[in-house]
Amino acid sequence: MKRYLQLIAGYMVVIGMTSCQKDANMPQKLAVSYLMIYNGGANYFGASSMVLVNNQFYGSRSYNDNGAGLVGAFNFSRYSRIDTGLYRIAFTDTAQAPENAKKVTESLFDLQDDRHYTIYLLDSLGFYGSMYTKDDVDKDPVNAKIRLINLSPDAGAVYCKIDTMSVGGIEDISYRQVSGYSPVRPDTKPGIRIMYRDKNTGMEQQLVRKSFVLEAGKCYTMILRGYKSPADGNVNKTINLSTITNF
Amino acid sequence: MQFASIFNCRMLAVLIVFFAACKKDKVSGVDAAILQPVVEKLSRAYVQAGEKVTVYGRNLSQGSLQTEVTINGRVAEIVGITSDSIEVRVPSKVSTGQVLVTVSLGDRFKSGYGPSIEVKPTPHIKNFWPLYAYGGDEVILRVENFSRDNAENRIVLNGEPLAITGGNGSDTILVRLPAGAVTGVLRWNSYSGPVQEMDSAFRVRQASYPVATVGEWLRVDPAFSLMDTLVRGYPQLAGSNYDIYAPIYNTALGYINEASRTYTIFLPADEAYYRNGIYLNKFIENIKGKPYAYHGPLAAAILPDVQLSIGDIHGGDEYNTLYSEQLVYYPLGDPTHVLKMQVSEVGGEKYVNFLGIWGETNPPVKILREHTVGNARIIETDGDMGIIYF
Repeated sequence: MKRYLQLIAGYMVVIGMTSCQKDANMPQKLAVSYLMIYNGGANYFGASSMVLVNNQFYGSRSYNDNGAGLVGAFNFSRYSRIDTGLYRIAFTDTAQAPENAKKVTESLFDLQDDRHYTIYLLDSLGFYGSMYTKDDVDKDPVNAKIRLINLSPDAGAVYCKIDTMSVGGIEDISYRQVSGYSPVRPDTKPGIRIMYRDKNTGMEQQLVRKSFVLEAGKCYTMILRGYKSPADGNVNKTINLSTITNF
Repeated sequence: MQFASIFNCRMLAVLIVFFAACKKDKVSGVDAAILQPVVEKLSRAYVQAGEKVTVYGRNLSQGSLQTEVTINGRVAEIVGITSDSIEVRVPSKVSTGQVLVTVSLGDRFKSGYGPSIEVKPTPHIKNFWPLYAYGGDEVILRVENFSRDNAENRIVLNGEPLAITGGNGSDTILVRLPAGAVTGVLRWNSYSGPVQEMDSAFRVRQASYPVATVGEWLRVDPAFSLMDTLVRGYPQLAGSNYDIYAPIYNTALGYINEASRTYTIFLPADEAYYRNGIYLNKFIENIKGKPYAYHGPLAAAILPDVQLSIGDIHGGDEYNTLYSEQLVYYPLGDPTHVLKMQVSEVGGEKYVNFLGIWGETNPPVKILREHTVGNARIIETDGDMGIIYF
């Protein structure tokens, strides 16, 4: 009887111990989001802002920086994996003196599973804010896909042409607005032009012209940034177009 | 049997420990410790930057946990907090948007949105015209962000409210200075917003000043700040050639800084220069660039030995000035060659210009008003007369 009881107890101990191995041996897909952060605040030319995620330091961004360095005419995306969920994401006034840094803007963002997001810092003469884009899109093996986000406070509503052809879907994009992705023909040297209509004359005017390779199957976000007329006259804050190759 | 019973009890205890250990991490003491903050209402429907507003709700302050408040994403300074209310100061450069209260511990947080609050832009006086005035005068303020309803706007000078006599609130407001106004700082607010102020004083002229010389008058009357700069600053502004100009300049000073002399001096008010975009810096640059063009007019402005009133002078009158060929080329110049000031009248207004042996200055400048200083009299003109050289 005693031996019988010892055997039963032994089995139960083994069962108890093995039951504690939790999920380690059970393959399960982890919920994860992909996050890129871009500083579109022209005030940060020559300076940088700390990005705080849930009040924790996440990285620094200077003007026109997406984490992969200065975007320039174009640069590649830099997504970081991050758990899904609700986050408070803030930008600070300085990264040079972290102990004295103050948040200039903070917002809540709900990051969902298997989604790519870009969060942008915006600045209109010191009125800071942030916004996000959902970046996922089905690739088109034949065409490139482009979209436009307007972060220029004084540009007004703009639209896009490639050489002389209007790009459908990228039209009437005002400050803080983003277009959907539009398919365009691949080209090694397209004349990508951001246009507007003069309010007084109604005439079409070109705001910015840039050229970068549009490859089939790739997806691009063009960012209109800076001021048509920088208040401090700093030419480095003048309106310009940067492009991130998302995928 | 007793051993078996004891053994079973030990085994049971071990099993309880094992099973209890299997409850994993799901229950987090920290998460449970943060209560959901709830914003129920705000003390104000609209505010301006710098004002205070109180957020009412529940779980807004939770012991040692950190509470932060944003308005449309902009962090607001907390000036007072209890568990059911937070008083915050509306930050600058914030626009209308939702209030959000976040309570956090480390990287864990819970947030509660409140209603949207309207943030009215901060009123601002950009500039005004004229740049100085008498008590009782009307002044045009060029403004932005004031209420279009002037009853909502308040503008004071030295604490005394100014009567708003016109304007539209969007870019222009007209105010009338109180009769006894003196130089001071303009302050303003709209609605019940925080008081703003200009970083420089608004200069109010007085009908008379307790001074003995014209030179002293120029120092205290804000309408003659440029002439004061010329009179007091000329030696330095004239640079290395000052010795050449000194005889004429010092002759003029012999009147301007002398209390016992009887004379009349015609001097342009600042406003005429300002209208042409000549402010202090530009005026100084002009003197430095052409110092020879400034000592002569100072002497020519003086009519020696007469204390004229505007009522005494009439169209067609001519008066000898202090500026003569002898003064310029002393002792060689002809003492009878004297620059004259001639008076004309058009439409009831009186004008003066210089008449010399080589011609006359044009156009004549308008006479505005007069000021008495001892035995001297300043005739204020609406412009610089120029000079006819010998």
